[in-house]
Amino acid sequence: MANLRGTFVRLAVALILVSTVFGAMLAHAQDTPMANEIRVSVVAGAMQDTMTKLVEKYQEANPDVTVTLELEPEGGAFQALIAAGNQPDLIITSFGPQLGKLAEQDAAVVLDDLPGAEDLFARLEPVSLQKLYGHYYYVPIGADVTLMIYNKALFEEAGLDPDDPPATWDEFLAAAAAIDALPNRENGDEVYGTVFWNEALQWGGWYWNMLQPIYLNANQGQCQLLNNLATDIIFDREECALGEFFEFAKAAQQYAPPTMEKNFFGRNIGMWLQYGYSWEPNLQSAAGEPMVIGEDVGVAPVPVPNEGDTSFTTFGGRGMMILKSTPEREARAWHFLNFLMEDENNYQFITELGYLPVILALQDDPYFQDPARQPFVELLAHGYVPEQFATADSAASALQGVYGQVVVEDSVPLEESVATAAQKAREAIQGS
Amino acid sequence: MITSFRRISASLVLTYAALTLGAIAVVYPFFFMVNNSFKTGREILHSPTALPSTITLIGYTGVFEELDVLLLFKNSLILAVSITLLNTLLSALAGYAFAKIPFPGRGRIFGFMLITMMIPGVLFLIPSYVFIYNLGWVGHYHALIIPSAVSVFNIFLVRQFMLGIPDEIVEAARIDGAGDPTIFMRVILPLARPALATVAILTFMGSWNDFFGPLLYLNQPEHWTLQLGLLQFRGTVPGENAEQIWALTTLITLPIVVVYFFIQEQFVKAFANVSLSK
Amino acid sequence: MVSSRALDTPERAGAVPSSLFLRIKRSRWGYIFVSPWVVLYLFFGLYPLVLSFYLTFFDYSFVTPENRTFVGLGNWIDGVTDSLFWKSLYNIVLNQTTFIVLKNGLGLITAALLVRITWGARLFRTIYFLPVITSTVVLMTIGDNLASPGGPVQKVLIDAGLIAGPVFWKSDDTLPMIIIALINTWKWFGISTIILLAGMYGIDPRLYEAAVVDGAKGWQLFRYITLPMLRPQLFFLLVVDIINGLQMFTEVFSIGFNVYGGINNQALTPVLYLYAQAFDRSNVGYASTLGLLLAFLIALLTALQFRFVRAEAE
Repeated sequence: MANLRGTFVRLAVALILVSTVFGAMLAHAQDTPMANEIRVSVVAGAMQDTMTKLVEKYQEANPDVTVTLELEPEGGAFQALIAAGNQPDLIITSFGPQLGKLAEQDAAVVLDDLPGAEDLFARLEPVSLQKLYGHYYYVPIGADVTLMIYNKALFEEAGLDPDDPPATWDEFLAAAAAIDALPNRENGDEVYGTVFWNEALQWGGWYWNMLQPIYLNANQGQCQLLNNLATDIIFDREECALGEFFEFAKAAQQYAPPTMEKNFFGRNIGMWLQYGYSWEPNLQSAAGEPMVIGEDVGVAPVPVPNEGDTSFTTFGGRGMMILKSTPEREARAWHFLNFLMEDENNYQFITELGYLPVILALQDDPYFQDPARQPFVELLAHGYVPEQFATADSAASALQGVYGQVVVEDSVPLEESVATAAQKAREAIQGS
Repeated sequence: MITSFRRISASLVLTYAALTLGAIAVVYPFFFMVNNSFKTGREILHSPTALPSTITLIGYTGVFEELDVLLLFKNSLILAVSITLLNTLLSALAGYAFAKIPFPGRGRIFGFMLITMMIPGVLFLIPSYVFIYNLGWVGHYHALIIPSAVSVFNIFLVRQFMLGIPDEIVEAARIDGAGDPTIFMRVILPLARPALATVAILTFMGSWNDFFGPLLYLNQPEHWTLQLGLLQFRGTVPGENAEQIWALTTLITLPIVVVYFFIQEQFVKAFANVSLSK
Repeated sequence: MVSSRALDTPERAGAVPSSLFLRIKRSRWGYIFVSPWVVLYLFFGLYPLVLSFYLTFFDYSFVTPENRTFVGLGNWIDGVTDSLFWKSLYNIVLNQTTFIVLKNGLGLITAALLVRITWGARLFRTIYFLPVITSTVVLMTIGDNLASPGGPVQKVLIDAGLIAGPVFWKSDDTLPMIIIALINTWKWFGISTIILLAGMYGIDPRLYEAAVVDGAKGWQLFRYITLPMLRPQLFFLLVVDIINGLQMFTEVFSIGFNVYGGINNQALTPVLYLYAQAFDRSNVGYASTLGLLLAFLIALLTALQFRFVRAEAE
């Protein structure tokens, strides 16, 4: 009796082991990539929904091709996919160091000479295109800009003209001071002239995109962070006016709460310099009732140092890249990319997902000429794509660190701000 | 119990007071989470710590509309249960072997096993992925189940517990002619229930809460787990979909709490006999 | 189950089998039972490990593997002299010292309180264990929310007059590691409580009775009886905590620092740095080196702990 039991146990154990470890190995051979497949990586949520619809449309017109959508891989996962040769064909990723990294690692296809490339690029906003290492590696699909948004109600209360937002730094500081002096709200909230997203200083170089317009205005578009080869920073040069940037930020910070916690949508902040077009949904969820551009809030270009200066902005948004694989897959990905960039399809993408048009023809479309959106579109021509090199990210992070010390914590004096920032940034780049 | 303390009721009151305060401090963040799941996004942003002015189910209805919650739940469950069952069985076997079967080389293998616990798992990320991809397992559940079928920590735990089982019981069974499988099934398993329950709950919880594994290996929506479902609500704008995120987080946490509540007695017993000897 | 066989096979009763082969044959189930783990580890543990070790001698990127260059001991020398690596070690030691002391201390105190009550013990135990079974990512998000400069915790501290204004702890040099340790303590102290409580339940009450007769009071009972009897549990906790704690990664990753632990690397832990090297800089060879260096340090610490215990026992 006992022996039978024991044998049964032994058999059962052996069966479990064998079947789980080896049965699975035998049953599933490596999935061969489907013939005529294009794999596109998207972000879950709204983008996935929009892309699903576009994919359906594409497949109707191209029945022999299958387009599969997959999740945009996070950081480390992406490297793993590439290492295994399992990477997607087309990625739609945010502007920033990711693009630069893929270009640098030679993982992305150079687009310059692909069929129809010249014509495609000619249709696009020139400043939204940025060459990396001398070539075009991405096609922008939609953009976003930073500008200033202000609370009209608070303006009125402070005795300022709600239809005449501040255009220069001095006007901005005066307005901020006036609003900051207003009494507390009913619910006890203090009123502030402006707000900066100081928590985001720690999150990495992308936040520099929000601060950069002030800096660009200070030097009137002469400098970004790096030189053309991305080997060294240039912002410690006199003409880049980084010192003025720090001065203004510090002056403005005194009218701002320490962090974004008391954010703009609580209706107790006068102006916000970091607003972007895609933040419109937040207006819907503002405290009390939704804010409407034109009625409760107004938008304006980021203030400039002197009257008559040009106001610049930084681009946010996404670009498409084709990852290297086989010539056939790359060609198919390019074909799908061009489909997405047809006026009609791109229009659907950017209106559903809240981007601004990079296709010049679409900028004149009535939807984007609407008073709620037109100010944003106007700024597109003065935009700068963030520097996409990996070194830019390190330099920006270092700069943000010093910004925190100079502007927020007051632990580094203003006179030393530029030198300290330059030193830290150089150290950061050295380590790359 | 320590009988001499029982007579002093003032200190007993203090004890309860301290414990209650501690309990409140511990529970508060959960309360925070559940509280926010019943608020509108606007309220979450502007008054995160207050009670909801009106209880809304927007978060929950949003979750159920956007996601096939039952499917996600099923997927998470399949993964968690498989990994838990395998782990419990295999670590029980190995733990018994390390504790009670004196086979040559046992010490060395155990030492080696301990060392492997110290190597950061991040190192294995890419090589594991490449290997699993070449096996063709990417996109299938076994990519996650097989590599996690037995973990060193679980073996360690079971072994420590089984060291506390008196050798005499095992010896007596051996003398009676029982082979190790029989001893395992009829003698050890019933005694080891606390340790096995501990392994079960810890493994279940590890698998249930795993985010990065499914992200890497299960990229088709039909295979998504609950944790991946959270991605659906990650918008480009901070504050977007806040209601759904808190609601889903609450939903994800609920099952484990329930499971734990039923197993916890065993859990306590498991650690009563942890032994020092190697 | 008594059988007559016990009487007529004197060898079985205790004689040691003579040859190695016989011993293996007798204890074959030992091998069979550990084989699942061994097999799995060979494929999913050892193979990646050996590969990683192999890669430490190269300058290697997984994206362009054909560009790899042999650098010999270059990575190892760089690793040992890397100031960021040492900074990350400093960070994690700061963090873990705080964490281990607080977590187990709090667990001890809670267990000591729980052991005195009968009614409600089960309820309290469940409550204290709640954070343990919740996902780290979720808890870090909640903790981040609560501890932020505009959050409730700081508000309470300001109202109580303990701090002057909102504290930007994320940009401070030492606070991030300490605050993460605090959040982690809150998450994990429940498990210390349960383990130590179980140990306390197992202490023979007669020990206490005897000591009371000798005139010992409450605190002395705790110090001279409870604590020593809890040695196995405390040791287990210490060993496991150190091994796991030195590898902390998810916590910093999910609380809003970039992969370098913030602008001044104030939240950089060794494994985070490893991750940054592997996935941000594509320096897989160097990352592997760092990982193995860390593993070596952990092994050293653990071995020291075991030796210390053995020396004490003698």
